[in-house]
Amino acid sequence: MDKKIILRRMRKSKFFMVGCTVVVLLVVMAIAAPYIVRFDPEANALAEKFIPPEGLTKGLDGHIFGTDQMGRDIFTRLLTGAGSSFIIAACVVVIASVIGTVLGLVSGYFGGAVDTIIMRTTEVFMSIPQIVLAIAIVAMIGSSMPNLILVLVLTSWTSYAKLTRNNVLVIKGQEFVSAAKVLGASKLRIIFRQVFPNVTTPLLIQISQQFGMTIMVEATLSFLNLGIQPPAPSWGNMIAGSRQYLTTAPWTVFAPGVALMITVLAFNFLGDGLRDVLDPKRT
Amino acid sequence: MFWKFVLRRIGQTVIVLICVSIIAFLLIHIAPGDPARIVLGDSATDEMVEAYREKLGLDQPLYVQYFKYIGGIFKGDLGTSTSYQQPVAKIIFSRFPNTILLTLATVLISLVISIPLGIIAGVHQGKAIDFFAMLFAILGQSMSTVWLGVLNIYIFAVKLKLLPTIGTGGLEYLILPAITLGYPISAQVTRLGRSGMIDVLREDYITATLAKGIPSSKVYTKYAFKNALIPIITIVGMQLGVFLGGAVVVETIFSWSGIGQLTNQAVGNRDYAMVQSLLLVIAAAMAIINLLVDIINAKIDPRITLQ
Amino acid sequence: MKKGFTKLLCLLLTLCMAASLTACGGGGQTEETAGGGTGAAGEAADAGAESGDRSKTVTIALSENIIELDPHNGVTVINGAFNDMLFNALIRADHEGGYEPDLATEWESSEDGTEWTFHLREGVQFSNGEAFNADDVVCTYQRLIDDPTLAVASNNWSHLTGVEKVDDYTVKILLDQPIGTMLLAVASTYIIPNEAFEEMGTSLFYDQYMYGTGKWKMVEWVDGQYFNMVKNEYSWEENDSYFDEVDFRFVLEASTAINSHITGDVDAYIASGGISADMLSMYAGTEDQIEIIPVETSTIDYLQFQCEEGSPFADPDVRRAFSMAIDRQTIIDNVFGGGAIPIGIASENTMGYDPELTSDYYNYDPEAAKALLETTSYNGEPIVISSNVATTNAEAMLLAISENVNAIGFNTSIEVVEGATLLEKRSTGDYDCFIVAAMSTGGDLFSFATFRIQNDAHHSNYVNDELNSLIEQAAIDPDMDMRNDLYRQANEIIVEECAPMIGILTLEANEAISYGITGIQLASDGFFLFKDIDYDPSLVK
Repeated sequence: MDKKIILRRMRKSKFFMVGCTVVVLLVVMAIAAPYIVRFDPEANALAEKFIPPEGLTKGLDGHIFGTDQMGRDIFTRLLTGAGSSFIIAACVVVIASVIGTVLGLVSGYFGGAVDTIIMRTTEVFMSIPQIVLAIAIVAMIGSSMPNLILVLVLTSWTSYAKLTRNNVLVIKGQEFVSAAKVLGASKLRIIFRQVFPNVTTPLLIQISQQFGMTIMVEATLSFLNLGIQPPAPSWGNMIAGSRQYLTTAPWTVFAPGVALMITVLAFNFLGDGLRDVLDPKRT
Repeated sequence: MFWKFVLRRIGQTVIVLICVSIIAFLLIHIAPGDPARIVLGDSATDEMVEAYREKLGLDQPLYVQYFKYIGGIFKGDLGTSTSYQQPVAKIIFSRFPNTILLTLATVLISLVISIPLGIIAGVHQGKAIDFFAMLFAILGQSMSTVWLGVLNIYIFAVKLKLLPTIGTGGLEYLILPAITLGYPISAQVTRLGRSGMIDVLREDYITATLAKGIPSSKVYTKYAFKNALIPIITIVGMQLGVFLGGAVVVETIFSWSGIGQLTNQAVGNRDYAMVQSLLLVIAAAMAIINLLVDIINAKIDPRITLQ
Repeated sequence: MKKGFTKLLCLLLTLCMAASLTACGGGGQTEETAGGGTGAAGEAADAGAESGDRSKTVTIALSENIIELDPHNGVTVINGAFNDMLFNALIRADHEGGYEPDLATEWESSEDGTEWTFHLREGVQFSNGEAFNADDVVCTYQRLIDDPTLAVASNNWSHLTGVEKVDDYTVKILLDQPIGTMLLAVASTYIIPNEAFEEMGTSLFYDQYMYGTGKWKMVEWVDGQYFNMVKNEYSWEENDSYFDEVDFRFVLEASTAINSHITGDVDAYIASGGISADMLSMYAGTEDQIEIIPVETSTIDYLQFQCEEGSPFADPDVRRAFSMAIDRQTIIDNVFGGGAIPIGIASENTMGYDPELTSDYYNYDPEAAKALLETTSYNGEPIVISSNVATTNAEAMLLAISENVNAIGFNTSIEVVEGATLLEKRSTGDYDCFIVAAMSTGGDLFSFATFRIQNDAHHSNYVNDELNSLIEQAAIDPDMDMRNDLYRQANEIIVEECAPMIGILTLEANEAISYGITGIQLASDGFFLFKDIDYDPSLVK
């Protein structure tokens, strides 16, 4: 596709611009967190618990979003938590999409027994709700960051596999693929040179939406005490830990909740925007 | 053709369930944590723990335990819960109605809101109402159950004091959990309904009917909407699994004693028989729903049976 | 009509929600600040507390589910509370160390303490009308001999060898050696009806018949929701309670339980281990309707060391330095909002308490701790302090301790894991040190000392023959004063050695009860008893 057209569409799509800006901003903040924050995200300062948000009245030295039940600065914990959430989500999305796409390509292109086995396997994984499966697995192997990534990959590769397979089935029948076959191109070459480039667009859209979803599921697991382990912060365990202070100190819950919402929203915008940009017919 | 398709799908479902039973069984048995130790507590000597493991059959090879478990299922016996000391089936089915009730309320609430909203948004594409519907939808898709549940409690129970927050009781207890569980799905249905309407309204026969002078409201609801309905049925069917997953969180937040809460508790207690049966029962429920959705769709659109 | 209304309501609610969400997304910050401090108290509270025509049902919110109905296998505080209402034992514990007659009117033991004779009360009936006599006692005790894995058996009766019917109203209980906790054991063993049990087996419990001789009888239990009782018309004790029905509700979320209490949906909120101090502020503004009752309990949070060869804590001075570095008072004040510093494992409400006993190792002294640590070979080896999610305020407490000890040169981090995971670690000894809470029923240290120290159930690998022999003697001595002294001596060793555990704090439990509700006994051993629950309108303000 013409780069100029894409750039123009990018600028035209409000979804894309808003989503992209917020995502970039969030990522930059998460990376720069160590230089921005002034407090220890884990050490408690019990004498300073439940300080209401001070905003920017004291600059970065104040508790911008207040402190939690252990006197820890919420802004600091939000940024630190964002870092680990993004790392987890990025790993999960990359690994799951590679596995899912390869299996989807193989399954869709070869068909037959391979297809049946792969598709039955996805059905097995999809027949247990993601959260329930994740709970069972985490309870079993313990909750460290690599384990969390493993669990989320195990429960999310299926969507890429299904998506890719369905697209491959459509593309397989098209003339240029038949032409390549006639010309004697090897199967691998056909899959990666002819078929794969034509399934990337829906894949990209899926990836950006899955990114938000993964952050959400990670938060849910942390909420259930199966994700990032306290005292290390994660948005999910911040909501879980402070939930009981909703009436007396609502900011302790609102800050991570709103942060979570904005982040997922930004990735959803990005996904919708990408669709506008790459695949305008489908909007 | 149709019956062949149905039979094939049933066969597939059975295979999937067998795989699920193996996975569920292995998952819980590999987990660290000894149910005998948990049941017997501090005062138990090592000999007592050993004896109890023998009583539960945990000393036998895994495959023997598995086949015993599967054999039991065919006799309607899902095993004995180590934490309740009672048949697993009895506990699960005493809680299942609560989860079903919650799921039904969720589907109802989300459809009642999202279908009209989707139609209106689709018909008035580009207008203010469309913008708000889309905002509603995008927000919904970005809300994690965790955050939405907490927010609902804050707004409706704490601030407005409109609704009870906890427990399992009359209809008013259902509203908050159902909204929490249903908002994300209604967001999706709104979007689907909207795009379905937009597509359909471009079709020639709709334009023709409108030109004939039939009232537009009738055209929209009677002809156009019917065509937007198929993807909605599919999505709602598929999303039931997501409901059951989300139910774990929602039931925890709202103290709703369904199987979601039970799953969490059973995993914590390493209640082997309970966890593997829960996974199996949930998977079976989802498989049956997917089967029904497929069959309904195949009835509506016979081309599906050819795939 | 009604359906239409519900639909409309749903629609309205969602619209409200969407609107408020938009508000939060934009200027959430200001709204959050405004929301702070305004407790949900106020006007809603009046509704529940109308005196005069008060409902004959009392509703109590509990923080914990009951999952085991068998009175011989369920030993949680909730089981304790319900069993006390539904059943009787031969004698009844007051949970402060005293015992009074219950189904037995008198008892005596043989010289060597291995043969106990109980004279039974006559004219008692179970709630199914079955008459109570020696056969029921034999049935009950025989069941515990036959199945030693029942929790009541394994906790109390490892030396029970037989039970004999002498006549219809006399039984003998036989032991293979004397046990020091005989009265506690008898008081923990609830008598079940033999005819019904022989006919139904455990479905007597699991199908919710639960025939007992108690003042109340069970109506219905719905797992995870509620447990109802009404007056037992066959009760031998007069039950003149104002209430005809007691309705327990299981509310696992503290904030929601408090909200229901404030709005008058429940009359009391009784949390196992007490309502967390941070949550009490939710009750602000309801002082004239709800009383917050603090209870000094004997429940102790203790830290156990891994003392095996090669562990840093094998060296007593490392343990002592660790203990001295902990600022217990600050933790009590800032994390728990109440409580007391124990010396060792004994406290004012347990046996073995010595008011004279002091120890430098329990005084916060970072300098001395640092100096002591420097004399040891500890050289910054990483140490993990573990706890489980069930321990109240675990994260905050562990963090505070970790900071304290790191300040004098330890290198610790913390982990708060799921209950089953910690249990696994403890049963294999795979830990550096862990903190959990321990209750001592009736303030008797038997179970704590015998199982956790002498038998080393949690694999600390600390062996001290002198300590173990003191504990062993205390377990079999029938004389309470002697036992008290033995535990006092044992505790001195534990304090001096800082092993295998050190006490961190004893908990103060706060429970909330509406004015007018009487007869709820909040015992210092962490149990709560509702048997005599009643209503006194004169106490309603």
